[in-house]
Amino acid sequence: MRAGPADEDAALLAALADGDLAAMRRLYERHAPWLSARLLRRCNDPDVVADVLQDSFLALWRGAERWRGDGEVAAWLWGIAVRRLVSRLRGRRAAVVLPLEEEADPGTAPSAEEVALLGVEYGDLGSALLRLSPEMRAVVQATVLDGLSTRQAARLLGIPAATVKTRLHRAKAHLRRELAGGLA
Amino acid sequence: MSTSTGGWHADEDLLSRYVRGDAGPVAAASLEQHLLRCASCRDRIAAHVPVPLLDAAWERVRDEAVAGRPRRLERLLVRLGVPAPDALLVATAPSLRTSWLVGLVVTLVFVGLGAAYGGDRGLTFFLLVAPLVPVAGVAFAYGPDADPSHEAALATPYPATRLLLLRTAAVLAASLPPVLLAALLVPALSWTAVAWLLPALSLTAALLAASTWVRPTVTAAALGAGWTAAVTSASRAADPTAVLAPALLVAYAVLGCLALLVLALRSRSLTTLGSPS
Ligand SMILES: [Zn+2]
Repeated sequence: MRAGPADEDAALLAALADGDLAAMRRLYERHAPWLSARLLRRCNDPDVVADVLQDSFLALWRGAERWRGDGEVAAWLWGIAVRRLVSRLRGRRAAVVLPLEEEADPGTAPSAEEVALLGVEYGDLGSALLRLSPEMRAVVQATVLDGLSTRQAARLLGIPAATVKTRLHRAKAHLRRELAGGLA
Repeated sequence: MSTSTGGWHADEDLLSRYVRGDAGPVAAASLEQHLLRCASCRDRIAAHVPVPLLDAAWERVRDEAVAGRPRRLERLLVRLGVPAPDALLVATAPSLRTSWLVGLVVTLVFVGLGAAYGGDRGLTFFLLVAPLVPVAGVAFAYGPDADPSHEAALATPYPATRLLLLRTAAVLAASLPPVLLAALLVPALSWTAVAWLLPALSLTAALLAASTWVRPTVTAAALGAGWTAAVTSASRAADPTAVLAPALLVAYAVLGCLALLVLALRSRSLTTLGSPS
């Protein structure tokens, strides 16, 4: 089961570091689609997303980012892309709408399917996450799930860093209560 | 891997809603975590992502990657400890590859000639060409005739003399070993296999010094003509190795040192070869 994809990604990264353009093309075909879909959920301007893809893959090509050979290549690529997104968004907050906050209408109850999905990925934490306010969930997503620092999350969400800290603090307290009380 | 998700995979409907932004925050967050570990769902989501965005980004990635491709020689130089700006400017010299190729061709020709004829004919030809290989290489390593990136190279604050000497050193390092190898493979040459290095270096130094006034290609042509005349007349008179007589070797050494002195004195006024400021 451990075979194929991860090994192929690692081999492609090694070839790319040696200046193999075909290897970069292959890596792009494998990862640019999902990366762009995920980026579009953080920033709904396709031009910015295309720029971020370009920045990320050129960073790989130029050796500015080096694969250390552990963990998932996909997670590592997302770390690169989301940081490039944050630096691209510097100074152009107004142009960006975050779909997550936009769609998270508190009136809509999560569907059974959604709860089940979240359970698969996060276990009990998933259902607790569901009951966070959209603002708190956005902060948890940016920091915990996307792995950004407080400052980077602030830039991505277009709110002050202090607000990120407060919301994250409140969210963690909330989650802790939910997990302690609601389990049984 | 996919076993850790209990065999669950996103269906086409979820993938399509996720890309459209209609999946809802919970399903979206779950799918995102799943995608990090599932190559098969990553492959399948590609069908739902707008192709123009991906293609446009790829074209720009490819163009910039090709334009900015670090040269192998540059990487090698950096690995050998040459500072990166030096390595870049040396590696962008147009004649480096050429002079190496010329050196290689000369090697093959002399191995062939030496095997076929030996004797004076091969010797004359060798003495004619070998010292001019580095001269030609240096003439095209730097200067307005040779280098399309000339302007760009000097737009950066970089000492012109340093660039000149670096590229000369690189050309010599690239062109001399193959010719030397050829010389050692021709038995008729005996000690002249090494002695030609002195006029070669002397001619190169003369080229550098003269090029503070005149275009290097012009100087190289003049030096080439002079050297050809000397070798052919020596060959006709009796012995082509007369151009390597001990007295002449001393003269080459003196001339070479004088040329380097001139270059050192004029280097301050040197901006580009052939166009003193
Ligand atoms: Zn899957």
